[in-house]
Amino acid sequence: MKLLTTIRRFPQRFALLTALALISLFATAPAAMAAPSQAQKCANTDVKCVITFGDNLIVARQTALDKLADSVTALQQKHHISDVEADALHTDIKTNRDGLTDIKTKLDAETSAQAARQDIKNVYEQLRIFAVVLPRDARHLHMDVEVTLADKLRDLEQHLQQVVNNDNDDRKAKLTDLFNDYKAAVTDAESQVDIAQAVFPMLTVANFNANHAAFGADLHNLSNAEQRIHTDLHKAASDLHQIAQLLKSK
Amino acid sequence: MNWIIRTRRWSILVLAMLLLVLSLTIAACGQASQQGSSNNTNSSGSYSTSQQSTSQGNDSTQIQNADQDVQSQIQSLDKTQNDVTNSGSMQDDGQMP
Repeated sequence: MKLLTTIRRFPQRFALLTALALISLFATAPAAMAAPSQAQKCANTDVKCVITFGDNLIVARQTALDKLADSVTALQQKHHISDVEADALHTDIKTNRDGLTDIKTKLDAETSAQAARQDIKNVYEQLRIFAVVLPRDARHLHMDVEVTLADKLRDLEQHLQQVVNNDNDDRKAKLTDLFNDYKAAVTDAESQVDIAQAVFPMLTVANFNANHAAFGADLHNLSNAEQRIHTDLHKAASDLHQIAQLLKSK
Repeated sequence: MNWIIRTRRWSILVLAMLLLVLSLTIAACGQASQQGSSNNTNSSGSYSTSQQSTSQGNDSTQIQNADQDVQSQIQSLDKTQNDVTNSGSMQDDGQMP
């Protein structure tokens, strides 16, 4: 009897499973079909195929650069980076965007697959947008925010000192501890900024092409310095917040 | 004789009225000047106890504002840190068609 019920229900279950399978197929098909486009292989003499491949490659890099440029503008408008810092980054982004446009113009006019392939190679080897430009400029933007914040915290120091000195309540000891911690964090952040700034000139496409390992080591050192500044600034900001809360509680 | 006495009385009355007006004017001027000087003292900030608490209140407000500003910058700091992490996820792998 149980077996009969199972068999009778089988077509319903089968229909349900088929429906689920179809839904998942339709949901994943576009992604599955899009994936090979980047890895597509063109015939040796198929110029159009090579050009399409190269154009997609260039668009991906242009989009990433535009996104970075938008971030720079947004932070400049908030005054979280200076105008000079924003201009320097915008200039670098524009130089690389122009480089991509030049290669695209050349690529689109190619009549031989071999020449088109060389243009694609140039996108990698001459511009290195993903390997050098974006990692470097994203770090530079991060450091610019760090420097602006460190300057602001340093400027606040004198005022905080006055407030702590003038405080006569029993919270003075706590305020003094927080303020000393704040000063130490800002000082440490500033020392790391000097280290980070010394690394940036080494992060070039030429250095990447000449010695990939040395470039990787420089990038690693820069990341370490920036991470330490980041942690220091978080610490100082937390101290400031606690000082503000203590003063508010009076 | 009556005429002389009446004239003297009127003179005294007018003089008294003038003295009253003068004293009221002087009193009003003195009050105004005292009010002005007390305002000046507050703005220059030197000795009153209420002034000291106002100064501490201002300090606190300034630090609250600075704190808010810094917290906003911390958000930008975290966002750019994420962008740094994401920038490493894309590669120039040299893939050719």
